[in-house]
Amino acid sequence: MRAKRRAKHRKKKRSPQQRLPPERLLAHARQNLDDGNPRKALELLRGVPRQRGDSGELPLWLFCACVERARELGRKGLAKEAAAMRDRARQQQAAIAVRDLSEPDLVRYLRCLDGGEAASAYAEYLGTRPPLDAAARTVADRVVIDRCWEPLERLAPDHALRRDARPVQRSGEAMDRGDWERAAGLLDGIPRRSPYAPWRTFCKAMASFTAGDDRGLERAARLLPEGFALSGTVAELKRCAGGGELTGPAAVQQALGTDDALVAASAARLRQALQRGSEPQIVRHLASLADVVYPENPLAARIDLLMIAARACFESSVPLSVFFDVAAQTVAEEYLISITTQATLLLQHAAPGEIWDPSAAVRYLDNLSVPFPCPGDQALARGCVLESLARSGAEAGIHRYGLDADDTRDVASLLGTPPQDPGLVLVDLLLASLAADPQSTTGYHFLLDLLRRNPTADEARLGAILQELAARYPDAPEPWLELATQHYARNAYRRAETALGEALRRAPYDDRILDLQAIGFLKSADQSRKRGRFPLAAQDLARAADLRRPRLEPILRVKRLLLDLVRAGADVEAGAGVEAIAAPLLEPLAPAARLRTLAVAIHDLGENRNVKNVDPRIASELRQVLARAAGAIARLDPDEALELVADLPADCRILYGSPRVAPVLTEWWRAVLARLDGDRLTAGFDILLACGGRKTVRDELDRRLRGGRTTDHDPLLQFYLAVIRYEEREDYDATRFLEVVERADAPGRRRLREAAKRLAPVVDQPLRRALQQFDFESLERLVPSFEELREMIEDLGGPGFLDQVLGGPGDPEVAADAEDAEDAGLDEPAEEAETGPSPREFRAALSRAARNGRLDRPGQGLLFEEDETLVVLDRLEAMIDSARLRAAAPAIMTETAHAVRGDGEVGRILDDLAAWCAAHARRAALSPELDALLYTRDEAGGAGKERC
Amino acid sequence: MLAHYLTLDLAPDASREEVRQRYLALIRRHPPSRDPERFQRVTAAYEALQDDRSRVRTAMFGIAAYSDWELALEALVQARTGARKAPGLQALLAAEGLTQ
Repeated sequence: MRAKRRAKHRKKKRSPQQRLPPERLLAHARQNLDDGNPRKALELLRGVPRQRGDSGELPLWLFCACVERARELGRKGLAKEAAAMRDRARQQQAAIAVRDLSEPDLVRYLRCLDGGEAASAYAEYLGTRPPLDAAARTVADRVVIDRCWEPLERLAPDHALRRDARPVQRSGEAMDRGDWERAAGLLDGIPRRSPYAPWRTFCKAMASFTAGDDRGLERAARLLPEGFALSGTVAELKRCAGGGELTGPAAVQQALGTDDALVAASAARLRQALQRGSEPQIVRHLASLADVVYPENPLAARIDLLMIAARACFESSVPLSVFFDVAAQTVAEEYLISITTQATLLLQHAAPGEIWDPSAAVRYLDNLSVPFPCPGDQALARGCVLESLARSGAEAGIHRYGLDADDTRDVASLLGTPPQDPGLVLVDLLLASLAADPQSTTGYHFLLDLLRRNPTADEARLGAILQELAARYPDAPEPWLELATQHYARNAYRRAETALGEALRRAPYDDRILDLQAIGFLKSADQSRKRGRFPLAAQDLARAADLRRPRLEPILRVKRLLLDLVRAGADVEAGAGVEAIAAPLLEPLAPAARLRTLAVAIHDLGENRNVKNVDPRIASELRQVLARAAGAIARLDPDEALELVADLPADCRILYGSPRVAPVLTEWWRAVLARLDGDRLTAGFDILLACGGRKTVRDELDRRLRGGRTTDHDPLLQFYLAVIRYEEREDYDATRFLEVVERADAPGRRRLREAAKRLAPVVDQPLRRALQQFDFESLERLVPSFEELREMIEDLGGPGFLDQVLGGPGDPEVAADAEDAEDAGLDEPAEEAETGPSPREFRAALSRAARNGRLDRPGQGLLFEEDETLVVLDRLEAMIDSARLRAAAPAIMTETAHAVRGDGEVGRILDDLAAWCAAHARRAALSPELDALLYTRDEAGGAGKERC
Repeated sequence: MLAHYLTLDLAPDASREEVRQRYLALIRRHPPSRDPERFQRVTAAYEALQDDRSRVRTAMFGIAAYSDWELALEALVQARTGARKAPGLQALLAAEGLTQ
């Protein structure tokens, strides 16, 4: 009651403005209408005394205010209220005498009428008063907006409003379509002084706006008259052209796509909510951003934003349950399953190896008709999902570790049949993917890659799969090429040649096939030579030569030389010199090519030293020939010296599958390097580093940097030295790299960048990444403190993990479980044995182990059960990864081991593990980092390696 | 992925031919010599939508192409803010509140 009374009292109370004289009230109302505030204007007009209404002024203003307010309500979607307001406006209209209105009042009045009424009212006005341009333009605006052309018949036939209406009528459709250029073209014939002329200018402005022609837009917008009907749009166009200070209403900005600030602000709010992981805020801001990003179909925008939200949760370690709750509140139920499973698959795709969830794939494919109603798209989507699952599985090593029961069931559901061979489950997934989408080149090549990288798989099955692929893609040479490679690997030359023949039939000029065929002939010739079938070997070499593979020419030369020497073995025994036998082949060659041929030949003979028909004297004499020829290195010019080693890595890769060359080739590298300088020197270093000649390069660098030969390449040489020192684990941080980079000038840094790019492939991580990105800060690492390591260990093992391991009070529940298990005599439930112990079991087992005491002598008894110990070792490996200690320098690992062993109890456990590994010949399987952790002697003299 | 459609100023149900036509129109309007960044965005959008397979893959895994979620969000906002629309007269009248 009290509230009602207060409301009544408020109604009676008049605002200070309402207490103003009527003239001032009307002026204020007029001002408010001009400012676009009809609600306030209406409030003020309500305070004007009734007697003022007799003058005709009040009904006009009430009418205008009511119409403007009705339009405002309509914009807000309040249709009922808008209709009521229009009714109120009509009540005032009868009292308005059009003929008596002044020019501005007439324009205002016409602006509030619809097209037909405006035309009629203006015709009435013209009966007694002279024409008004502004009024005619207003009528034109209203007529165009409402498309009411008939009332124009009331005007004289030569009146511009009537005369020029036809082209405007014709352009209406183009304007509605948004084809402003065409509309402007249709309005081209309208005279400049016509009341419709502003519409032609407006069409030109819109055409310039959509074409991104800001200069044309600025010119056209400047010509638009004040009071043009689409004032908000004009203001926004002027702002876009850089000439206007006002901005159009938000709805206009949205329609024109110029609401950048609104979208950016909305996106910033969503970004902040995602960073905070706040579910209600994410829901709110995601919906509002979707509405502004794509108002035509906010659902499409919501789905995209949900995918981004899923990634945000995953990457910011926000529980995915937050995302699922957001999704449930953001989209209708029928979309929910497909969106949440798509998000899971997306995360699997974005972070392969971290997630592998075939159940999500099963559920997504079951609901595929929701995101992809078209059957053709469904097949493509199915292929895409299965391929992504296979890729992620390959990253996660599914084919190595196998599937658990749930995964097996899900994969069976995806394949339609249980997987036969766990090692080939990814291949089966890819085959299913290709069955759904046979034209997927990415899936096809990944399948071939998978088959190539799968040496442990059953050969017969692999062969069958390749045959199936060959049948499925009858024009593709790749399956045949793979088959040939596999046959060569098994020394099945005849089959390999048949397969290569098939491949060549499909791609006669494919270099990969021709190279493989030539290499096959070389291998076959080697086999024949080793077995003493020299004519056959010569025939194979001739066939290889016929293929004219320029890259294989030097190797072919070596093989010919070897065949000649081995064939002349009897002559060598008889005293004929190797030099004489080799002369016809070697003499035509340049000195560098001669040396290289000899070197590779000796290397090849070294490979064949166990073959009976190779006389050891041949190798020994060949060495002498090489030693004599090596004297020529000192006479080579730098280009020849570089040429001598340039192709070695490629030759060795073709011959032996690795660029690493035998020591015989390294004997004269120092002499070669002595001939090189400047860019040739670094090119020589690159070749040697690729061939595993790091020590030679290091020696040469030390020699040059000692001061003997300082050149302008010093920073580059220092850089090479820094790379080698890091690889040799003499350095373990970025200091040296940063010093070198800092000392170099701009061109020097460019050279360093180029060198880093060249060196990246021949070094290991993390240096490889640092070189690739030319960012050495990442090499800076801090030795974790014991407290940090303790936290990491507890993160891995669970709260109280260390206390339990160290024999402390531990978790009573876990200890009780452990005792129960002991009492029951069940060390490992059968079910756990398959999947590995759960963290709970793990803790229980360690508690039990801690109580049992430590191992005093190897072999006396086991501290841990074997499975449990392996789990502990795995977890320690994981801890090394988490602490970013993988590939750490020995000094770092030693320091870390000391830090860890600083706590005697932890040191005791590590010693026990070390003893167990040594007793069970497991040490070789440890990573170097874990080895360092277990076997580094602590300062207190705790056992480790010695005790073993 | 909506960002590509917004870059090309097309609806997500646009046909292949529409995608191709709009791509050609946009690269004529934004040649690489004048607006390389826009050209790159338009070309990337076209490649993502040029055939059915790419379109389906993009719809499922397009967001994974960005190195992190913030870049994906940025790309969506950029695609939206960079595109001027060509609304029809009725849409403009509705936005101005001039329709009954």
